[in-house]
Amino acid sequence: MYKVRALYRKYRSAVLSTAILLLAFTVFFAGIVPGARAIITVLSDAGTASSQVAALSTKYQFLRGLDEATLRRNLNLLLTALPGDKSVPSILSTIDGVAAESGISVQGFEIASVGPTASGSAARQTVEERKIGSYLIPYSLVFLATPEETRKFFSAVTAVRRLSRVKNFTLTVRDPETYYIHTELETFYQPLAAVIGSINAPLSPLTEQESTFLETLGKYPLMSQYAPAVETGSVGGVTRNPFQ
Amino acid sequence: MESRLDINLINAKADVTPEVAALSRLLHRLSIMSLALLVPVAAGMSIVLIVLRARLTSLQSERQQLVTAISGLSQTEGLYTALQDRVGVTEKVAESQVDWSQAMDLVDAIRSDTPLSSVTVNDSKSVLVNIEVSSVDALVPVMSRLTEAVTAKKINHPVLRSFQYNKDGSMLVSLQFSLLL
Repeated sequence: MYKVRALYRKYRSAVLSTAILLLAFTVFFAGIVPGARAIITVLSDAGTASSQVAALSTKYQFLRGLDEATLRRNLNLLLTALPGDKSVPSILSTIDGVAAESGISVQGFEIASVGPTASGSAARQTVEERKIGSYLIPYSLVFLATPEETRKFFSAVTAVRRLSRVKNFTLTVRDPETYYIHTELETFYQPLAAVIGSINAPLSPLTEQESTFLETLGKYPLMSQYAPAVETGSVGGVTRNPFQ
Repeated sequence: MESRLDINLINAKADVTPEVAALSRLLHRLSIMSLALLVPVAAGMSIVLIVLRARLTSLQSERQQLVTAISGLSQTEGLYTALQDRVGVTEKVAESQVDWSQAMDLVDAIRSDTPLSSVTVNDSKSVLVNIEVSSVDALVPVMSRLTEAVTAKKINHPVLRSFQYNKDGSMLVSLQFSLLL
C-alpha cells in the first residue's frame, strides 16, 4: 500500500491527465459523435418538414383561392363536351341540333354496339382510346345536303358540345346542288376520376392554354338538353389514392 | 501550554526522470486542451439540438394543422382535380378532330369548275376524288392545280388512280392524295 501511494504521488499529474484524456475520449465517442448524428437527423427531418409545410401551405392557399361554384360550372361545361357516361340521348340531340343548324337532311343514323348504357368504366380501352384518354362511341350518319350545307355540317360537328370527330366519309354527287353523304363519326365519354392524389400531391393552376381552351369550349353551342351535370357533392366525395 | 510541532519529512517534489516529467507535462497539456475543446462543443451541440428539436416539433405541428385544413377542403380539391384532368382529356379529344370543310374547299379548289362525281375520305386522311372531264385538255389545269397544292404543302402523295372513257366521250378521272391538315 505504501508503494502504491508512493507511485501515485510520484506520477499523480500523469495519472490525472490520463484519466481526463480517457474521460474526454469516452465523452467524444459516447456523446459528441451520437449527438452530431442526432443533429444531422433532426436537421434533415426539419428540412423535409419545412419543405412539406411550404408545399402544403401553397396548396392550402391555392385551394382557398378557388371558387367552388366556378369549378362546378367549368366542370359541368366540360361534361357537356365530354360526358362521364355514354349519354346516348345527348348524341341524338346533338346530331339533331347540328343537322338543324347546317340545314342537312338526315337520311339515316346508327350507333354501332352501344353496349350497356351505364358508364362502362370497367371496359378495357383500345389503343386509340388509351392514346386519347377517353372511350369512343362510333356512329354513322347518312344525309343529303347542298355543297354549302355539307361544309357547314363538317364545321359545326366539331364545334359543338358534345364533341365528335369525323372518321371518314363518302360523298356522291346526285346533282350539282345535292350531295349524298355517308359518314362515320366518333363521340367520346370518360368517367370522372373516383380518387384524388395524396394530401402532399401539389396542385398546379390551369395553364393559359387550358384556360383559353375552356373559354373556347364555352363558346361552342350546347345542342343537347340531356347534358349531364355535377350534382353537389358528387365529385367532392372522392377518396384519396392510398398508393400515392 | 503544550505545543505540537509536526515536521513533514517526505520530499515535496517526487523524483522523476526528465522523460517521465516531459510525458507528464504533455499529458497535462493534452487533457487541458481536450477539456477546453469538449466542454464548449458539447454545450453548443446540446443547445443546437434543443433548438432544432423545438423547431422540428413546431414544423410537425404546423404540418398537421395544414393537413387537417386541406382535408377540410377535399371537396374543392376533388372538383379541381376532376376539372384539371378533364381539361387535359378534352383538349386531346379536340386535337384529334379534323374540320373536313377545309378538305372540301381544297377539293373544290383543285377541281375548280370541273364536275365532281364523288369524294371519299378514309380514316388515314387519304382522299379519293372522282371528277368528270370533257377532254384530256380539260384535265391539264386540274393536274396543274394538284401540283400547286403539293408545292403549297396542303397535300402530298398525289396519284392518278384511274382514267376511264365514257360512251359520251367524257372521261372519269380518279385522283388520290393525302391531306396535310
